[in-house]
Amino acid sequence: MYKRFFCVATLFAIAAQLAACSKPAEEVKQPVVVETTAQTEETEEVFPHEPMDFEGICSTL
Amino acid sequence: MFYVIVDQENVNTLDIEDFDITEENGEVLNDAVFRRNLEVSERFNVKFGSYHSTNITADVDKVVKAGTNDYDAFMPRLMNAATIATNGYAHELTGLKYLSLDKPWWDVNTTHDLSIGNMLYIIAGDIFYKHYDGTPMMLFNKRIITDFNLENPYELVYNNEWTIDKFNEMAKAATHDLNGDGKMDKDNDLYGLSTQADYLTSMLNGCGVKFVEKDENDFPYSAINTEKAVTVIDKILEHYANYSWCIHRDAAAASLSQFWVFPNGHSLFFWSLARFINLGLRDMEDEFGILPIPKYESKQSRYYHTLNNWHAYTYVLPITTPADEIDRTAYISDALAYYGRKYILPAYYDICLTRKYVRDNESSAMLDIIFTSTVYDLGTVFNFGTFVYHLEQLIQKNSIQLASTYAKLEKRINKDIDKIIETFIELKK
Repeated sequence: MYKRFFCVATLFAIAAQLAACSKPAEEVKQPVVVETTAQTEETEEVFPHEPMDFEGICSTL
Repeated sequence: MFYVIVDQENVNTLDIEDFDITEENGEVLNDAVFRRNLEVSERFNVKFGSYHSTNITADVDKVVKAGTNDYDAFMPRLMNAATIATNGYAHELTGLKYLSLDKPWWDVNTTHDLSIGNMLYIIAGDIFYKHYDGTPMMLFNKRIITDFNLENPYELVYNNEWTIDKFNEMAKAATHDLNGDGKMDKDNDLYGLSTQADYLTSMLNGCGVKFVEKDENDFPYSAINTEKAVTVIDKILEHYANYSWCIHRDAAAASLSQFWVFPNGHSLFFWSLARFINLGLRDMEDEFGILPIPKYESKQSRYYHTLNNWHAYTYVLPITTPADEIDRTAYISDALAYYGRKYILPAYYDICLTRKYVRDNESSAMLDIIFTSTVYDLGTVFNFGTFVYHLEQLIQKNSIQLASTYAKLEKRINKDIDKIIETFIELKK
């Protein structure tokens, strides 16, 4: 069932992208630009750890 | 080098390309990810790389059994994260010195909902926006609302009247055999709803019913066999099983049509995930709006939006991470998430979702409700006793006898829950 759902979703995505590509630019609907406060204001919080340099400390690859 | 395995189920879809981006190209999300990677790379002198696995559970199995430390992190979708954790291949994450799980750049709902016995093996957050792509929502067609003089759905939300009964009522009212030929078809008629089977878990959770709850010690127990769950499933079946006003995969004879019905203006509602707005609706001719998943009843205190097992990405650290490297891994993970919140989240949420794809201010407000009410259900994530799978199979046959299905699987459900508890405790040692 999951596989079938995925196949559907995949084909939907591909078809949607193809459809979008085939349309003339002027047909693309322009959304209303809205202002939002959203969730971004909290990013003022500083990164909580002391600076580190990982040069020379690599994984095995 | 910081090297990750990314879950890629198939070509062209469901993948994280964050560590493949090498330059800015003017596309908002690409450039945000590029700037995040660049800042972390330059600040901490680390480079990134990824391996895209089309079978991440098998690849992780190989990596762990080989005992190597080839990968610093795994980025599986939720369902595959559960398999990796169940197999004992994940590193316990609470208490890591440099992993700030209490900070907003990690999704607090994962730490709260996905822990078992206060042990945590799966997290998610602003480290990649595709986590949020798996968030469910209900879309509606504004023209159809006007044509049939239906209530303003936004007002219903603002007045706390957006319930499953109201949803059923509106979907039913919109359904019409437009060409009058006495039968419903997707090209000529109008359906109340288009959807697919995993809608069941989303709607159930939306009504405040979880498959699995946790006790005072944070250990899971099965919680589905209740009178309320039966009532909610009956309400879901009321529309899902009625092909005259709900079109879904099976009703559409295994075609793709349930996904095209809404964009083509032939259904009032469409149960969607955030990613579909970008993928399939940018060129939709009719105006559409976004709503939360309906509540069970008005007195329900909040909305619930369950991250989808198939589409929400998560973050897992390998059990094979050596003790002398775990601080480095946690530190870099924290940095990626922190700078992800700084650069990627605004690009995804503010610009893409609420400015590029969404067409009105109300939908933007609805997205705020949706993204601040996400939840996880351990019963869905771990599919204990294959119970959720069975329900989703049954809904396609339009019949869920909850009590008998549960009775048949109860022992297996409880056995699976006991097993995951034992596994997690063993890993913690």
